[in-house]
Amino acid sequence: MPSSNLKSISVDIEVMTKDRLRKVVFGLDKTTADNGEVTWTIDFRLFEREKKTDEFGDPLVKLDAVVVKKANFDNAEATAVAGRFKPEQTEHALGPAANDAKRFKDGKITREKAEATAERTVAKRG
Amino acid sequence: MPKRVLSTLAAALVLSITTARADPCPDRGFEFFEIEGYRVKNVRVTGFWVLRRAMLAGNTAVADLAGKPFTAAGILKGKRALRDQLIAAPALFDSPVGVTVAAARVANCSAATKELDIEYPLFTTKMPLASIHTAEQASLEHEDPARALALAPANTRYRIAPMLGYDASQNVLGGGRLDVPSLFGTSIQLSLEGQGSSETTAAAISLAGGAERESGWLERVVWRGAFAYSDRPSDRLRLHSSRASGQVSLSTRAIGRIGAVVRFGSLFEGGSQRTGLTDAVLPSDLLASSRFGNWRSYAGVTARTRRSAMAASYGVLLGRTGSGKRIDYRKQVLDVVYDSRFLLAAQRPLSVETRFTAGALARLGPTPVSERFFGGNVETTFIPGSEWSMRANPVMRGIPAFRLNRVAPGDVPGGDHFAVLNLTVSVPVFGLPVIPKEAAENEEIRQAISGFVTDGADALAPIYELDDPAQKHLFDTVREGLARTTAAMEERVGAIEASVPEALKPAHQACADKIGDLASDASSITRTTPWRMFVNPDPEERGIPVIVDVCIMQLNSKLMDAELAERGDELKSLQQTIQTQVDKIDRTRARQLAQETMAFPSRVVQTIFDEMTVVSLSPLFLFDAGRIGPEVRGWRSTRYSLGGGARLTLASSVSFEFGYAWNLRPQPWEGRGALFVALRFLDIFGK
Repeated sequence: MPSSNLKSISVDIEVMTKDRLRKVVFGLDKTTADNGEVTWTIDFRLFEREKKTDEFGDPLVKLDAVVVKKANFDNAEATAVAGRFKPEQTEHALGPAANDAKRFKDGKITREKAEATAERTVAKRG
Repeated sequence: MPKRVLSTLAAALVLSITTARADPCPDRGFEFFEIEGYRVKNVRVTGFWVLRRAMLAGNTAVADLAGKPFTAAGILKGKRALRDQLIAAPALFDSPVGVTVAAARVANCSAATKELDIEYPLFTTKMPLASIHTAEQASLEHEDPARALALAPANTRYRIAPMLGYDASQNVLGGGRLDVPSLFGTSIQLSLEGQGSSETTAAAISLAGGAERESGWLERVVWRGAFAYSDRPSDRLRLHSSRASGQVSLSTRAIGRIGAVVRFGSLFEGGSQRTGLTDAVLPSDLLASSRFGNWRSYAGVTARTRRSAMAASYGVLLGRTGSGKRIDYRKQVLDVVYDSRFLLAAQRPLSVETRFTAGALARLGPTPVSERFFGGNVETTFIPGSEWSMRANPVMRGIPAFRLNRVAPGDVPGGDHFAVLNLTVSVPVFGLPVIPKEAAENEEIRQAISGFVTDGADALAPIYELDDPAQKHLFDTVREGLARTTAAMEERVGAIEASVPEALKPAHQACADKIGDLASDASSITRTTPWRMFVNPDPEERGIPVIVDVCIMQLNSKLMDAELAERGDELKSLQQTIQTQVDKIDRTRARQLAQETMAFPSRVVQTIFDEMTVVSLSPLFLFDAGRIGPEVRGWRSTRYSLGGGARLTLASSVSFEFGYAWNLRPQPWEGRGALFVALRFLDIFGK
């Protein structure tokens, strides 16, 4: 993104499955420090509901402030600037990332593993 | 007027007009201002005013920043709270994709006083794909963009919309509407509507529901059951009726490049009507009072482009009054609307609204007088209570409500046929953009939104691939086998752990991790699971090729476990089956469908930036021409109205319209003209 006095900007991309029972909100947050160093973090939220007429309510799983590796900065920037996912990113967010988020909630995998899967959504842009 | 109305209006105007004129601060990170010891003077949220109001209400993480020492953590915590609020914000429709942009910056820094302001520019939107192609949606976007495009949190528990109006027939009219979108947590909507004046009483209660289909040509089904009572004045009689009705309306998915939606429906109603006349003064085939049963059928097409909207509707009503005949009267109505906008300058669209309505009533037996056509400056609709707007009477704005009802003084009230053309031209002389200039022109926010709207189809394409027959075939035939095989393989990998030599422990661990991931994915397959992920060869992922490589090639080539080898063979066979079907998925078609779906909504969002106004004041020019029959020799059956007025709109809040139209060829019972005043509160009250 071009330089501006917006030192912190986030883009939350929302994707819902066609049966409208599952929704992922994938947030990318960019903060620029005074020394110009950029930090990208991911906020991943998975929502599910039993029926289409129900409210989604609180997220089933929240993975907050997942720090993006420097190797993925370009892809994070490209995703945020685009304001949308590439097809591979949608597939990953609704598939493995959502599944691992649920497994973390169920205590089957560690937070680190679930976060790593969520972060790979960014890498899929490459 | 209640105190709350005044305070809301005042807040709306202040928020709308006083868009922040922020002076930039030094281009430094937030830590700089913290170290320098700045204090926060003001905290602002910028963006669509309804959104700003909603975000500021009760958000202590933001409000608490004012008057305190500035901290980098504080400003980011405020943004975090706003994002959380936006993500949880309720909308009145589901959208397959959506985007929210939230930013934080400092402004108005004073090095002398060490004070600064914090500003949070916000923007959010979703796409109502099921209704976005209709002319009614186009009107709603201009009147209530918050609700139409989810630009702000919606009132999903209940909404109250008061109204106030005046016309010469009905006098000063007050009333309102209460909507409960989800009655007792169901998908049924309850609506109560009422209007009253010294001359008029009208009330209605309805229950409505519907469904949107995920695929197929039919997209939306809406049903409604209602009871309505009304007692309205005409010049020589009262139009009094009570009726119960049930209706169902269906609409297709957008068709073709223009995105036309075909819709049709049917309504049954029964009730009674009376007029205050006696049958003695009426022809033998007209009834002053009667019971009735009506069957209305209607069909139409609607479409829009970026700056125009059209809708054509035709309806036929077959009615009976219990005379013994199957059908006692037949009414037909045609209603065509074409609205266009020409952008003269930013936020200065010249709006031209045209409408042609015609109707004919055939009396085949005893017919209620109230089924005849009564015109004037109030419209009646063919499909009561529906979002589908289909006018059913001659609207002539120079004649008070329901007084356009005959050609000669001695005629029986009510027309047997009519045709009317209405023209309304307006152009705002004053307008403030929905998105404040600072936010709309900010390159970073603009880029994110532009990217979303110009090629949001990227995100949507995989969702459309899920409709492909190959995808469905895999769900129906392979799901169970894959879940069974991966579970068995995971179990086997666990069972052999103790016997794995030390040198192979890392390979075994890698295999256990990967097969655990795959087994988990396979056990939670739904119809919305993209099957391509199961044949993904990326070593970072857990596709079958990865498991085969890690567990069979790297581990079992040395372990030589027979059962693991057998599971590996089963997996390879499943991989082949899945790959064959995945290759059959028509990705081009899915991409094309996604592009077609997103193309128009994208333009709508673009329009928000460039054209839509949050406050606008527009002079109105009105012209109506029409005729009503039956004709009477020596009497003019044509009428013309010419007038002007003004419309003040505060988006998603208030619509105020007033004016006067002259009746250019008046008859004594019609008057020389009519004043109209209408004040409507859109979505101020609710939860």
